[in-house]
Amino acid sequence: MDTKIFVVTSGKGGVGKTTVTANLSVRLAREGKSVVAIDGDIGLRNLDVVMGLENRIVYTLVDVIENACRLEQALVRDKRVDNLYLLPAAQTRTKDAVNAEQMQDLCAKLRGAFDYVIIDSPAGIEAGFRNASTAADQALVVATPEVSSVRDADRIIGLLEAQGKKNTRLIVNRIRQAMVKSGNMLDVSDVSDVLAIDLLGVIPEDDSVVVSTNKGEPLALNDSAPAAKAFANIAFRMMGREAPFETPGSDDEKKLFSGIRKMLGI
Amino acid sequence: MPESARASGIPAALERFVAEKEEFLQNASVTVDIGRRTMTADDLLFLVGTFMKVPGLRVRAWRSASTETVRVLESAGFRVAKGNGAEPTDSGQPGGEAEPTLLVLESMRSGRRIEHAGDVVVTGNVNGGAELIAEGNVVVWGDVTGLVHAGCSGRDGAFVLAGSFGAPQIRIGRKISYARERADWGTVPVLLRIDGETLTAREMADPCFKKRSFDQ
Repeated sequence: MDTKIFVVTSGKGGVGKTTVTANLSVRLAREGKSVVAIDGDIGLRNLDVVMGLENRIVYTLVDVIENACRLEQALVRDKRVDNLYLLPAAQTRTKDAVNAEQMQDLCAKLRGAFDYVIIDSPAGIEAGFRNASTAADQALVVATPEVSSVRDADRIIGLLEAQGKKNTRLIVNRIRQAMVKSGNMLDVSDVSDVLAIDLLGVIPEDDSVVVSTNKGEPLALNDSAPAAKAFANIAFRMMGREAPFETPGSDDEKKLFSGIRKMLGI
Repeated sequence: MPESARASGIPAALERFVAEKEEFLQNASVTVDIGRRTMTADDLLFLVGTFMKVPGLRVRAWRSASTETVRVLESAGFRVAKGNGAEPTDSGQPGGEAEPTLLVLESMRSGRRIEHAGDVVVTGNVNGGAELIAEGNVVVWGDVTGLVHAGCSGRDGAFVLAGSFGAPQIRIGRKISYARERADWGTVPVLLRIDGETLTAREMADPCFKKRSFDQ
């Protein structure tokens, strides 16, 4: 099995790395791929909450590295989707508990056993980022259409290039077309022009992301939300399939169509 | 210090200057220009001792128009900046033998810093968060949104030529200028240089060369 190991990173915090990791993992699993999502944010774990698997954690990534358990024992299986597993981070330890070499060894054990390994990198450019990124074959850089986010993403891309990472691709998250049209938000092309890497996908701002995150039910478990469609398209492109670059409709357009649908009872 | 100053008064004046400006000099990177003065090995030892008292001060290079002083510096293993026989010019051309031009065949991403003793040409962008510090002129084919300092050793005749310019600050020679509002020059090539006492930017695409002044 040819395992692909991705790191989802950004530099800046709060841009949606964990949400992207959870939803892409779910969507890839729904497409029949075997997937392990690794929470690389040791000490500030969140991926388990977003994936709704918090209550089933017994062992963590640090336990595996310290040989307190076997890798198979630490993998939490998602019962809603076949072949989806979470390797949770330890909340009570710090990023110093793991080094880059140990992360590489861990990923080497997963290589060959799964189709995809997706590592959720912590924010920042320090040890946590290095641990998460050195173990990966490819990087997905998440940026929101804000100047500060773009600058941090640019920094991260420079560091990834210095590590020799190729095929680093960009995901623009939380785009609001109405604000873009009114000139109050950077457009996708503004972001991708500065960062000068291939665009993998665009995710619209979607209130249902907040709801799903709080409920621990990733949007990608179903197809109804606009963001879920965007996650699906990104997952298809990760698999090498063609998928449309959906241009999210404006918030006003969405409201209009939503109103029409309600009137028609659909 | 003026070259006409009496040699006997220089050590005390220098010590006073360093004491008064210590906060400014801390962690600074400086070029020491001796001018036409003739410096002995003892003078050199005194200068080094004085500079070493300032935490973090880095002497990037020494300059001198005196052959004897250059000999003293080089015999002690110090780096003497090329073109040391000439005064800084305002012509935009470095005097004497120039450092080779540094060619950067890519964009400078955030967090990257380049320092060069001569001219620099960047074929990509200088992105926000990147820093390009040159003793000579700077030419950037792409967009400049990061920090560029041309003529960093004090050469006010240096210039910056950018494919487009949107940085909040620009430094040329001894001047630091900032945009009153977020600079928005679109995609028009811009030439930035000091005109008299004012840092000016000219839109190169306009045949009339629109000119705009920056806040100093």
